[in-house]
Amino acid sequence: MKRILTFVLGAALVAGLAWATPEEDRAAFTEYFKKRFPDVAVEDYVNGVYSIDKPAYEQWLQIEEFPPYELALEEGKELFETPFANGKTYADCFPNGGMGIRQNYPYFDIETGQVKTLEQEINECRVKNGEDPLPYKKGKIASISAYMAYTSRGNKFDVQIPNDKALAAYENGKEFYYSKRGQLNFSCADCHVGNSGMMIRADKLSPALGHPTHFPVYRSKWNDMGTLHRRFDGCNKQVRAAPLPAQGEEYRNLEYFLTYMSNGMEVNGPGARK
Amino acid sequence: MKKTLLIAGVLAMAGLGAAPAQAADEAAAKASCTAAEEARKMAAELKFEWTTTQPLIAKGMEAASKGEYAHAVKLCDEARMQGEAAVAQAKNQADAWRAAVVK
Repeated sequence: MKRILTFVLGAALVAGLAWATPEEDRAAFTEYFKKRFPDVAVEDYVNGVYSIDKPAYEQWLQIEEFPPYELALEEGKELFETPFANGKTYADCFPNGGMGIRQNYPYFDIETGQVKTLEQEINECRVKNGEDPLPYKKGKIASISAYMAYTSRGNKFDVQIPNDKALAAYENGKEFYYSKRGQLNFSCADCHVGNSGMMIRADKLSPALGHPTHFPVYRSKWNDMGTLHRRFDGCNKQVRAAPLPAQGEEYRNLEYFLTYMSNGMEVNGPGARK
Repeated sequence: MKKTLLIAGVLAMAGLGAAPAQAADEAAAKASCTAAEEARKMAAELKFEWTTTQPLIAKGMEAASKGEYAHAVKLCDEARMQGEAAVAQAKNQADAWRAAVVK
């Protein structure tokens, strides 16, 4: 009897640990960063690493006076407004003409049973209108996405998990986020949760809270704009894990989980980062 | 004359032995690199491949093509171990990740 009771209690404990609801996850995530950086207001995490690095924050404010993503914004606006060969534009593919909608991405598409991202829908729009899809990590797609994010600045992320399939996609992204991989045996969380704020060589590790809010970003290291999936790719390579395809199911689910963790925070993209 | 004959005989015997030895070394290198590629593929299927594995296999194959079989075996054995470690990592993390979740 004792043994059965122990087993039942153990199983209940494991189930409880494994199946925290997304809202419980998000609350715990936010609380963790509140405790880790007590002087940082939650809404400031949209500024990424600059929220926890005062000297770098001052420099970044100067950079923001003439932001390096400005050219991408201009290019993105022009591309967004230029009609396709069939006369239609991106505005025809999105709700509200594509303006001020970044906060609703990624979302779970009940029809396809898949997580959909903004960049994915930009390309779907192109294909639907007879144009070739763009490469997903940088270039024109980053500019268009940057422009769309810019029109959404200040809107609050509102990622929904509408059904069990969506929950499975969320859990899949969560598993990816917390799984150690690569020769260095690091998970995303190892750097950006447990060691956030610590130095890795000359750089401070940014906090995970608010991470997706400022993408796409202009990175000085790239001397270029890049999408969130370009950054996932880079992070994986840094721990010597073979990156997975940009906009593949794994990275889309990862974006879904990570953005859910930033629900309620403001869109702040595009950003400028080191 | 006797000495010359003796040397010639020894050289001939060494030559006869060299061909099968080379074939064995080549086969060992090939087997090592094939095993490494299989381990790498298995890790890739689990989406846990390491970036360091494929370059080692490529270097191993290159060494084998130059006849440097021992070096090829060393490189490909290392690659195989990496592939196997990546598979073990994937299997371990299938459950272990839950313990890392912020609660």
